[in-house]
Amino acid sequence: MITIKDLSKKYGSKTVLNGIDLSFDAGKVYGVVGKNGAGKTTLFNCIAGIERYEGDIDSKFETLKNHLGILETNPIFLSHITGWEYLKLHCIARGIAEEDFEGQNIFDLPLHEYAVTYSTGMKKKLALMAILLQKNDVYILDEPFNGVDIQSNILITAIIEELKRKGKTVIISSHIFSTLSDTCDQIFLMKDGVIAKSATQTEFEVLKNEMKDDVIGGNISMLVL
Amino acid sequence: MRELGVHPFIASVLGAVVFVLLSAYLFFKTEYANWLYLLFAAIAIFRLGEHNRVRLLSVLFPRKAYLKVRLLENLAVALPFVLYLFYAAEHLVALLVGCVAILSVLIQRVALNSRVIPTPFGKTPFENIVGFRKTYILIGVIYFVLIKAIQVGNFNLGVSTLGAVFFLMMSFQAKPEPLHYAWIFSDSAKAFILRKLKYSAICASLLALPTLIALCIFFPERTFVSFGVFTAGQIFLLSMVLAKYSAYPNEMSVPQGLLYALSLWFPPMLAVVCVLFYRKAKRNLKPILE
Repeated sequence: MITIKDLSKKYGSKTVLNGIDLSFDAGKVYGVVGKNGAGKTTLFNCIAGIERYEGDIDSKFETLKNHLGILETNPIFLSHITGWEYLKLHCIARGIAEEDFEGQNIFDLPLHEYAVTYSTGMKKKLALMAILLQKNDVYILDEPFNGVDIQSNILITAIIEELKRKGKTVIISSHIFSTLSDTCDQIFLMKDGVIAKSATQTEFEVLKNEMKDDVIGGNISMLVL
Repeated sequence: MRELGVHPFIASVLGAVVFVLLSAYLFFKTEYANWLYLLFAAIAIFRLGEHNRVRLLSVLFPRKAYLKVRLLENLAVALPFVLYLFYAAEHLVALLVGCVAILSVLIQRVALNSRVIPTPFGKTPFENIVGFRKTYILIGVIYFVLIKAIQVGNFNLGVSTLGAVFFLMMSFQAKPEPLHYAWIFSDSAKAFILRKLKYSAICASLLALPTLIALCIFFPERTFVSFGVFTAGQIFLLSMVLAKYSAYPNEMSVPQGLLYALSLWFPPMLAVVCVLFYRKAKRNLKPILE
């Protein structure tokens, strides 16, 4: 459904993505893991067309971004806009005449209060609800579980499973490995702007242990506790 | 000022001189300058009450200190207006300016506590909703000045409130929105610009029509002028939208701002400048939207 060939991105002289080849199919959930600065968010922004890049990103859609919803790590909310208005704006933007947001308010958000006054988790849930209401074909969820309470965590996992069942493509990044291993069909490990490793469900445990060894290694002994 | 190579002290003195000269000119030009003065003072005071700024101050300072800081800065801005009004023997208006300075601190404190202000633009994109909620008191002041203009039978003062509505609506478009708020649209660049122009014109009409109708009813012999100001206001507003997107996603650069200011000063230039801005806006939005 989405094919990425030789994708590279530089900020000045710094290479952030270096010749990435990936493909994402419909009805599958993909995880992207990696340390901070590995290039996950830049990869997402390139797929979404927010960043310019070198290489090719092809899909069956004429304009991929019009079928794609991106949940940013820290969604930006304007002052003086209520949750309801935020949702309405996202629907208007895609020509969707939806207004029954209360009826679909699965996160029980106070939609008639200013969104800037929401907590981190509530903001994340509102932004997620906005892209769900757009009925996209592709979802990029950058840290969807960040700052979200345990109940919503369970709900988001269920939503991801439902999106998969409906044949949507879901790409998630998370720093909590278990949230990915519960939902993903395939996980990609990013390191220094390249895909260092790819693992299918049967290989998740091996990937997790490799990451653990790589991260902890001798580092823990550096810290005097 | 230091960045522009002007010493802050010299800039302050020059600023004060220009303020006094402009005030004298205004009071010389119209006998209802006092109400316009109230309007200008209110605009200056409300600019300090920008939501994010007020929120930051409320986080930085405990409640009492916050109120003191906000009160002091509002009074500092109001002081030149108050002093000139006393000099011009406009004691009542001077008192009103003082009241606006004090009350705006309390009102904006309440606004911080997330009381949602209803707007007449419920379903249109955000610029006008945000702008209206930030300046609804100012809009009230504009309508108040309009009523005073009608009471005293002063058309010039009345028609200036019509201009003030458009000026305010132009300020709603001054700051570019975050990229995400444009990116989410599935429009082409052209359709996106046309959508923004359409909604700006509709929203401006919603706020300006009551003023226009009132002016036509109470000053029927000057209907032509009222419609002229209304049309000019719409053109200026639409040019502001184009100017914003001609620099998008950045803010307008100094040369762009100067070009725009020049065309506002000499409106025939707008015809050329708008075409330039439209082309530039399309070029800027194409990679984001298409």
